[in-house]
Amino acid sequence: MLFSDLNLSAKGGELIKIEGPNGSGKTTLLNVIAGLTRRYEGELTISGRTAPNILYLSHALGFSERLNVIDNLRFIAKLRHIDLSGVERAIDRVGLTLVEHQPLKNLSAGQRRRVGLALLALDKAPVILLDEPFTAIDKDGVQLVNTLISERLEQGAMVFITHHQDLMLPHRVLSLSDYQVEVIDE
Amino acid sequence: MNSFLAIIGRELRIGFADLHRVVTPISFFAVVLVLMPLGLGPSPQLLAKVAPGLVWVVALLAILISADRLFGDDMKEGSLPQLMTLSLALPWVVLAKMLAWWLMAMVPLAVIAPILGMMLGLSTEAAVITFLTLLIGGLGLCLVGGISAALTLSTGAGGALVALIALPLYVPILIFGSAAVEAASLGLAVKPYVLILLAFDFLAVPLAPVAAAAALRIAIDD
Repeated sequence: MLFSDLNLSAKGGELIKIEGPNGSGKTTLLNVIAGLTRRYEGELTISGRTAPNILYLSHALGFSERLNVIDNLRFIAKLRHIDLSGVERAIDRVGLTLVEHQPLKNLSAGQRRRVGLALLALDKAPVILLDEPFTAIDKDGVQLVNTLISERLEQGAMVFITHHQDLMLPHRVLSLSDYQVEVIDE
Repeated sequence: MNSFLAIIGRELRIGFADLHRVVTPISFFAVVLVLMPLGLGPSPQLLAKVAPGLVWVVALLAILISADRLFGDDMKEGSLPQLMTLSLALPWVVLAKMLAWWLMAMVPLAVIAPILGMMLGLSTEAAVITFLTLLIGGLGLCLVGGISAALTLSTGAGGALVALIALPLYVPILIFGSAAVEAASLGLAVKPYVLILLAFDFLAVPLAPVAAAAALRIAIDD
Protein backbone atom coordinates (compact mmCIF):
# COMPACT_ATOMS: atom_id res chain seq x y z
CA MET A 1 0.00 0.00 0.00
CA LEU A 2 1.38 3.39 -1.01
CA PHE A 3 0.74 6.51 1.02
CA SER A 4 -1.51 5.05 3.68
CA ASP A 5 -3.31 7.63 5.81
CA LEU A 6 -2.40 10.47 3.52
CA ASN A 7 -4.92 13.21 4.11
CA LEU A 8 -4.03 16.46 2.48
CA SER A 9 -6.15 19.41 1.65
CA ALA A 10 -4.86 22.46 -0.15
CA LYS A 11 -6.41 25.60 -1.49
CA GLY A 12 -5.80 27.90 -4.45
CA GLY A 13 -2.75 30.11 -4.15
CA GLU A 14 -0.97 27.57 -1.98
CA LEU A 15 2.48 26.16 -2.69
CA ILE A 16 3.25 22.71 -1.37
CA LYS A 17 6.75 21.30 -1.47
CA ILE A 18 7.01 17.52 -1.48
CA GLU A 19 10.36 16.49 -0.12
CA GLY A 20 12.07 13.26 0.73
CA PRO A 21 15.03 11.07 -0.24
CA ASN A 22 15.37 9.41 -3.63
CA GLY A 23 12.79 6.66 -4.05
CA SER A 24 10.55 7.97 -1.30
CA GLY A 25 7.61 8.39 -3.66
CA LYS A 26 7.65 12.10 -4.57
CA THR A 27 7.10 11.55 -8.28
CA THR A 28 4.63 8.74 -7.59
CA LEU A 29 2.59 11.14 -5.46
CA LEU A 30 2.59 13.68 -8.30
CA ASN A 31 1.48 10.88 -10.66
CA VAL A 32 -1.38 10.06 -8.29
CA ILE A 33 -2.49 13.71 -8.22
CA ALA A 34 -2.18 13.90 -12.03
CA GLY A 35 -4.34 10.81 -12.41
CA LEU A 36 -1.57 8.84 -14.14
CA THR A 37 -1.74 5.99 -11.69
CA ARG A 38 -4.83 4.37 -10.28
CA ARG A 39 -3.02 2.18 -7.83
CA TYR A 40 -4.47 3.82 -4.77
CA GLU A 41 -7.50 3.52 -2.59
CA GLY A 42 -9.43 6.51 -1.38
CA GLU A 43 -10.55 9.67 -3.02
CA LEU A 44 -8.81 12.47 -4.82
CA THR A 45 -10.86 15.53 -5.64
CA ILE A 46 -9.67 18.94 -6.65
CA SER A 47 -12.20 21.78 -6.54
CA GLY A 48 -14.86 19.10 -6.22
CA ARG A 49 -13.79 17.44 -9.46
CA THR A 50 -12.11 14.07 -9.81
CA ALA A 51 -10.45 15.00 -13.13
CA PRO A 52 -9.46 18.67 -12.95
CA ASN A 53 -7.40 20.62 -15.46
CA ILE A 54 -3.82 19.92 -14.38
CA LEU A 55 -0.52 21.11 -15.80
CA TYR A 56 2.12 18.49 -15.06
CA LEU A 57 5.72 19.28 -15.90
CA SER A 58 7.29 15.92 -15.21
CA HIS A 59 10.98 15.18 -15.23
CA ALA A 60 10.73 13.94 -18.84
CA LEU A 61 8.82 17.13 -19.81
CA GLY A 62 6.78 15.43 -22.56
CA PHE A 63 7.97 17.30 -25.63
CA SER A 64 9.02 15.68 -28.88
CA GLU A 65 12.78 15.74 -29.39
CA ARG A 66 12.30 15.97 -33.15
CA LEU A 67 10.00 18.97 -33.22
CA ASN A 68 11.22 22.52 -32.72
CA VAL A 69 10.45 24.66 -29.67
CA ILE A 70 7.62 26.63 -31.22
CA ASP A 71 5.87 23.58 -32.74
CA ASN A 72 6.07 21.70 -29.44
CA LEU A 73 4.54 24.60 -27.52
CA ARG A 74 1.88 25.31 -30.16
CA PHE A 75 0.85 21.65 -30.07
CA ILE A 76 0.46 21.59 -26.28
CA ALA A 77 -1.26 25.00 -26.37
CA LYS A 78 -3.79 23.72 -28.92
CA LEU A 79 -4.51 20.63 -26.85
CA ARG A 80 -4.87 22.64 -23.68
CA HIS A 81 -7.07 25.25 -25.40
CA ILE A 82 -4.60 28.07 -24.77
CA ASP A 83 -4.52 31.15 -27.01
CA LEU A 84 -1.72 30.49 -29.54
CA SER A 85 -0.84 34.18 -29.73
CA GLY A 86 0.85 33.88 -26.34
CA VAL A 87 3.31 31.18 -27.45
CA GLU A 88 5.97 33.50 -28.89
CA ARG A 89 5.69 35.84 -25.89
CA ALA A 90 6.24 32.88 -23.55
CA ILE A 91 9.26 31.74 -25.57
CA ASP A 92 10.70 35.25 -25.38
CA ARG A 93 10.08 35.35 -21.66
CA VAL A 94 12.12 32.21 -20.99
CA GLY A 95 14.93 33.39 -23.27
CA LEU A 96 14.57 30.88 -26.09
CA THR A 97 13.73 33.22 -29.00
CA LEU A 98 17.04 32.55 -30.75
CA VAL A 99 16.49 28.78 -30.74
CA GLU A 100 12.71 28.68 -31.23
CA HIS A 101 13.05 26.96 -34.62
CA GLN A 102 15.58 24.38 -33.37
CA PRO A 103 14.44 20.81 -32.68
CA LEU A 104 14.68 19.97 -29.00
CA LYS A 105 17.34 17.34 -29.65
CA ASN A 106 19.73 20.21 -30.54
CA LEU A 107 19.14 22.08 -27.25
CA SER A 108 21.02 21.76 -23.98
CA ALA A 109 19.34 20.20 -20.94
CA GLY A 110 18.84 23.65 -19.42
CA GLN A 111 17.25 25.02 -22.58
CA ARG A 112 14.88 22.04 -22.74
CA ARG A 113 13.89 22.71 -19.18
CA ARG A 114 13.15 26.31 -20.19
CA VAL A 115 10.71 25.02 -22.83
CA GLY A 116 8.77 23.53 -19.92
CA LEU A 117 8.96 26.90 -18.17
CA ALA A 118 7.46 28.54 -21.26
CA LEU A 119 4.49 26.22 -20.80
CA LEU A 120 4.27 27.29 -17.16
CA ALA A 121 4.18 30.92 -18.34
CA LEU A 122 1.54 30.12 -20.94
CA ASP A 123 -0.87 27.77 -19.19
CA LYS A 124 -3.64 28.85 -16.85
CA ALA A 125 -4.41 25.47 -15.22
CA PRO A 126 -5.63 25.80 -11.63
CA VAL A 127 -3.42 22.92 -10.47
CA ILE A 128 0.26 22.76 -11.33
CA LEU A 129 2.58 19.85 -10.64
CA LEU A 130 6.31 20.49 -11.01
CA ASP A 131 8.76 17.62 -10.77
CA GLU A 132 12.24 18.97 -10.05
CA PRO A 133 11.77 22.18 -12.08
CA PHE A 134 15.19 23.56 -11.07
CA THR A 135 17.14 20.66 -12.58
CA ALA A 136 19.77 21.80 -15.12
CA ILE A 137 18.67 25.41 -14.69
CA ASP A 138 21.21 28.24 -14.33
CA LYS A 139 21.05 31.15 -11.82
CA ASP A 140 18.80 33.32 -14.01
CA GLY A 141 16.60 30.31 -14.60
CA VAL A 142 16.18 29.74 -10.85
CA GLN A 143 14.96 33.32 -10.49
CA LEU A 144 12.64 32.82 -13.47
CA VAL A 145 11.12 29.63 -12.02
CA ASN A 146 10.43 31.39 -8.73
CA THR A 147 8.88 34.37 -10.55
CA LEU A 148 6.66 32.16 -12.72
CA ILE A 149 5.48 30.11 -9.73
CA SER A 150 4.81 33.29 -7.78
CA GLU A 151 2.69 34.68 -10.64
CA ARG A 152 0.67 31.50 -10.91
CA LEU A 153 0.08 31.48 -7.14
CA GLU A 154 -1.17 35.07 -7.32
CA GLN A 155 -3.60 33.94 -10.02
CA GLY A 156 -4.97 31.39 -7.54
CA ALA A 157 -3.27 28.23 -8.79
CA MET A 158 -2.39 25.42 -6.43
CA VAL A 159 1.21 24.32 -6.98
CA PHE A 160 2.89 21.07 -5.93
CA ILE A 161 6.63 20.90 -6.38
CA THR A 162 9.18 18.23 -5.56
CA HIS A 163 12.01 19.29 -3.30
CA HIS A 164 14.73 21.71 -4.15
CA GLN A 165 16.69 24.16 -2.12
CA ASP A 166 16.32 26.86 -4.79
CA LEU A 167 12.66 27.41 -3.99
CA MET A 168 12.49 30.93 -2.50
CA LEU A 169 8.74 31.28 -1.96
CA PRO A 170 6.76 30.58 1.24
CA HIS A 171 5.40 27.05 1.16
CA ARG A 172 4.04 24.10 3.12
CA VAL A 173 6.14 20.95 3.31
CA LEU A 174 4.98 17.41 2.77
CA SER A 175 7.77 15.08 3.81
CA LEU A 176 7.87 11.54 2.46
CA SER A 177 9.93 8.57 3.46
CA ASP A 178 9.61 5.17 1.78
CA TYR A 179 6.15 6.00 0.40
CA GLN A 180 4.92 7.07 3.82
CA VAL A 181 4.02 10.59 4.86
CA GLU A 182 6.25 11.68 7.69
CA VAL A 183 5.47 15.30 8.36
CA ILE A 184 3.04 17.80 7.01
CA ASP A 185 4.49 21.08 8.13
CA GLU A 186 2.03 23.92 8.17
CA MET B 1 -12.10 17.57 -32.79
CA ASN B 2 -9.39 20.26 -32.93
CA SER B 3 -7.28 18.36 -30.40
CA PHE B 4 -7.77 15.15 -32.37
CA LEU B 5 -6.59 16.82 -35.59
CA ALA B 6 -3.74 18.52 -33.72
CA ILE B 7 -2.42 15.11 -32.63
CA ILE B 8 -2.59 13.79 -36.20
CA GLY B 9 -0.80 16.94 -37.40
CA ARG B 10 1.90 16.54 -34.77
CA GLU B 11 2.50 12.91 -35.69
CA LEU B 12 2.82 13.80 -39.38
CA ARG B 13 5.21 16.63 -38.54
CA ILE B 14 7.35 14.28 -36.44
CA GLY B 15 7.26 11.73 -39.27
CA PHE B 16 8.56 14.24 -41.79
CA ALA B 17 11.15 15.58 -39.32
CA ASP B 18 12.40 12.01 -38.86
CA LEU B 19 12.09 10.72 -42.43
CA HIS B 20 13.52 7.25 -41.89
CA ARG B 21 10.40 6.51 -39.84
CA VAL B 22 8.34 6.97 -43.01
CA VAL B 23 10.85 5.64 -45.50
CA THR B 24 11.83 2.38 -43.73
CA PRO B 25 8.57 0.43 -44.28
CA ILE B 26 8.24 1.68 -47.86
CA SER B 27 11.81 0.83 -48.79
CA PHE B 28 11.52 -2.60 -47.13
CA PHE B 29 8.34 -3.24 -49.12
CA ALA B 30 9.87 -2.11 -52.42
CA VAL B 31 13.20 -3.90 -51.96
CA VAL B 32 11.62 -7.26 -51.03
CA LEU B 33 9.20 -7.14 -53.98
CA VAL B 34 11.95 -6.10 -56.41
CA LEU B 35 14.20 -8.92 -55.20
CA MET B 36 11.46 -11.55 -55.33
CA PRO B 37 11.75 -12.32 -59.07
CA LEU B 38 15.46 -12.91 -58.55
CA GLY B 39 14.72 -15.52 -55.90
CA LEU B 40 11.67 -17.14 -57.48
CA GLY B 41 12.85 -17.06 -61.08
CA PRO B 42 11.72 -14.93 -63.99
CA SER B 43 8.68 -17.06 -65.01
CA PRO B 44 5.82 -14.52 -65.60
CA GLN B 45 3.16 -17.16 -64.84
CA LEU B 46 4.71 -18.04 -61.49
CA LEU B 47 5.17 -14.39 -60.48
CA ALA B 48 1.61 -13.46 -61.50
CA LYS B 49 0.29 -16.42 -59.48
CA VAL B 50 2.15 -15.56 -56.26
CA ALA B 51 1.89 -11.76 -56.62
CA PRO B 52 -1.44 -11.24 -54.71
CA GLY B 53 -0.28 -13.11 -51.62
CA LEU B 54 3.25 -11.81 -51.87
CA VAL B 55 2.26 -8.15 -52.00
CA TRP B 56 0.01 -8.57 -48.98
CA VAL B 57 2.51 -10.56 -46.88
CA VAL B 58 5.30 -8.06 -47.53
CA ALA B 59 2.97 -5.10 -46.78
CA LEU B 60 1.99 -6.72 -43.50
CA LEU B 61 5.63 -7.27 -42.50
CA ALA B 62 6.56 -3.73 -43.56
CA ILE B 63 3.91 -2.32 -41.23
CA LEU B 64 5.12 -4.48 -38.35
CA ILE B 65 8.62 -3.03 -38.71
CA SER B 66 7.42 0.39 -37.61
CA ALA B 67 4.84 -0.76 -35.04
CA ASP B 68 6.95 -0.57 -31.90
CA ARG B 69 7.76 3.11 -32.53
CA LEU B 70 4.10 4.06 -32.42
CA PHE B 71 4.18 4.66 -28.68
CA GLY B 72 7.85 3.93 -27.89
CA ASP B 73 9.19 7.43 -28.57
CA ASP B 74 6.29 9.08 -26.72
CA MET B 75 6.93 6.88 -23.72
CA LYS B 76 10.65 7.70 -23.75
CA GLU B 77 10.06 11.45 -24.10
CA GLY B 78 7.25 11.56 -21.53
CA SER B 79 4.62 12.75 -24.03
CA LEU B 80 2.18 10.00 -23.10
CA PRO B 81 1.75 11.12 -19.47
CA GLN B 82 1.45 14.70 -20.78
CA LEU B 83 -1.29 13.60 -23.20
CA MET B 84 -3.05 11.71 -20.42
CA THR B 85 -3.54 14.88 -18.37
CA LEU B 86 -5.61 16.47 -21.17
CA SER B 87 -9.36 16.70 -21.34
CA LEU B 88 -9.28 14.55 -24.51
CA ALA B 89 -9.88 10.92 -23.54
CA LEU B 90 -6.90 8.61 -24.06
CA PRO B 91 -8.65 6.34 -26.64
CA TRP B 92 -9.10 9.40 -28.88
CA VAL B 93 -5.41 10.24 -28.50
CA VAL B 94 -4.56 6.64 -29.41
CA LEU B 95 -6.93 6.64 -32.41
CA ALA B 96 -5.35 9.87 -33.70
CA LYS B 97 -1.89 8.30 -33.45
CA MET B 98 -3.04 5.12 -35.20
CA LEU B 99 -4.64 7.11 -38.05
CA ALA B 100 -1.48 9.19 -38.46
CA TRP B 101 0.55 5.97 -38.63
CA TRP B 102 -1.83 4.67 -41.29
CA LEU B 103 -1.44 7.91 -43.28
CA MET B 104 2.36 7.84 -43.03
CA ALA B 105 3.07 4.14 -43.49
CA MET B 106 0.11 2.45 -45.16
CA VAL B 107 -1.09 5.06 -47.65
CA PRO B 108 2.33 5.36 -49.38
CA LEU B 109 2.55 1.53 -49.45
CA ALA B 110 -0.89 1.32 -51.05
CA VAL B 111 0.20 3.87 -53.66
CA ILE B 112 3.37 2.06 -54.74
CA ALA B 113 1.96 -1.47 -54.35
CA PRO B 114 0.02 -1.48 -57.67
CA ILE B 115 3.15 -0.44 -59.59
CA LEU B 116 5.25 -3.16 -57.98
CA GLY B 117 2.36 -5.62 -58.35
CA MET B 118 2.13 -4.92 -62.07
CA MET B 119 5.87 -5.45 -62.31
CA LEU B 120 5.22 -8.94 -60.90
CA GLY B 121 2.48 -9.53 -63.49
CA LEU B 122 -0.74 -8.34 -61.84
CA SER B 123 -3.42 -7.14 -64.23
CA THR B 124 -4.57 -3.50 -64.13
CA GLU B 125 -7.82 -4.53 -62.39
CA ALA B 126 -5.90 -6.54 -59.78
CA ALA B 127 -3.51 -3.62 -59.27
CA VAL B 128 -6.43 -1.26 -58.60
CA ILE B 129 -7.89 -3.75 -56.09
CA THR B 130 -4.44 -4.07 -54.47
CA PHE B 131 -4.48 -0.31 -53.88
CA LEU B 132 -8.02 -0.35 -52.53
CA THR B 133 -7.62 -3.39 -50.25
CA LEU B 134 -4.30 -2.18 -48.86
CA LEU B 135 -5.94 1.13 -47.98
CA ILE B 136 -8.91 -0.54 -46.28
CA GLY B 137 -7.16 -3.59 -44.84
CA GLY B 138 -4.13 -1.47 -43.95
CA LEU B 139 -6.24 0.53 -41.52
CA GLY B 140 -7.09 -2.72 -39.75
CA LEU B 141 -3.39 -3.66 -39.70
CA CYS B 142 -2.49 -0.31 -38.09
CA LEU B 143 -5.27 -0.56 -35.50
CA VAL B 144 -4.38 -4.13 -34.49
CA GLY B 145 -0.66 -3.32 -34.62
CA GLY B 146 -1.34 -0.42 -32.26
CA ILE B 147 -2.86 -2.75 -29.65
CA SER B 148 0.15 -4.99 -29.92
CA ALA B 149 2.58 -2.06 -29.63
CA ALA B 150 0.75 -0.78 -26.54
CA LEU B 151 0.70 -4.23 -24.92
CA THR B 152 4.44 -4.68 -25.32
CA LEU B 153 5.40 -1.13 -24.33
CA SER B 154 6.17 -1.86 -20.70
CA THR B 155 8.21 -4.98 -21.53
CA GLY B 156 10.75 -3.01 -23.57
CA ALA B 157 10.98 -6.05 -25.85
CA GLY B 158 9.16 -4.50 -28.83
CA GLY B 159 10.02 -6.00 -32.25
CA ALA B 160 9.48 -9.74 -32.17
CA LEU B 161 6.95 -9.60 -29.35
CA VAL B 162 4.83 -7.05 -31.25
CA ALA B 163 4.83 -9.39 -34.25
CA LEU B 164 4.00 -12.43 -32.11
CA ILE B 165 0.91 -10.75 -30.67
CA ALA B 166 -0.24 -9.03 -33.86
CA LEU B 167 0.26 -11.83 -36.40
CA PRO B 168 -2.65 -14.09 -35.34
CA LEU B 169 -4.97 -11.07 -35.55
CA TYR B 170 -3.51 -10.13 -38.94
CA VAL B 171 -4.42 -13.50 -40.45
CA PRO B 172 -8.07 -12.69 -41.39
CA ILE B 173 -7.03 -9.38 -42.99
CA LEU B 174 -4.27 -11.14 -44.90
CA ILE B 175 -6.58 -13.90 -46.13
CA PHE B 176 -9.35 -11.60 -47.34
CA GLY B 177 -7.00 -8.92 -48.68
CA SER B 178 -4.97 -11.31 -50.82
CA ALA B 179 -8.13 -13.22 -51.83
CA ALA B 180 -9.62 -9.97 -53.15
CA VAL B 181 -6.54 -9.33 -55.32
CA GLU B 182 -6.53 -12.98 -56.47
CA ALA B 183 -10.24 -12.75 -57.36
CA ALA B 184 -9.63 -9.53 -59.32
CA SER B 185 -6.79 -11.15 -61.28
CA LEU B 186 -9.10 -14.09 -62.14
CA GLY B 187 -11.94 -11.74 -63.11
CA LEU B 188 -14.15 -12.83 -60.19
CA ALA B 189 -16.26 -10.66 -57.85
CA VAL B 190 -14.20 -8.79 -55.23
CA LYS B 191 -17.02 -7.01 -53.41
CA PRO B 192 -17.53 -9.68 -50.68
CA TYR B 193 -13.84 -9.56 -49.72
CA VAL B 194 -13.77 -5.77 -49.66
CA LEU B 195 -16.91 -5.70 -47.51
CA ILE B 196 -15.35 -8.12 -45.01
CA LEU B 197 -12.25 -5.90 -44.79
CA LEU B 198 -14.51 -2.88 -44.23
CA ALA B 199 -16.43 -4.78 -41.54
CA PHE B 200 -13.12 -5.52 -39.80
CA ASP B 201 -12.30 -1.78 -39.84
CA PHE B 202 -15.74 -0.88 -38.47
CA LEU B 203 -15.12 -3.23 -35.57
CA ALA B 204 -11.52 -2.20 -35.01
CA VAL B 205 -11.99 1.61 -35.14
CA PRO B 206 -14.04 1.79 -31.91
CA LEU B 207 -12.48 -1.21 -30.13
CA ALA B 208 -8.74 -1.07 -30.87
CA PRO B 209 -8.11 2.43 -29.39
CA VAL B 210 -9.93 1.45 -26.17
CA ALA B 211 -7.87 -1.75 -25.84
CA ALA B 212 -4.60 0.04 -26.65
CA ALA B 213 -5.42 2.89 -24.23
CA ALA B 214 -6.02 0.36 -21.43
CA ALA B 215 -2.65 -1.26 -22.19
CA LEU B 216 -0.95 2.16 -22.20
CA ARG B 217 -2.41 3.02 -18.81
CA ILE B 218 -0.91 -0.19 -17.42
CA ALA B 219 2.45 0.59 -19.05
CA ILE B 220 2.52 4.11 -17.57
CA ASP B 221 1.36 2.86 -14.19
CA ASP B 222 4.30 0.45 -14.12
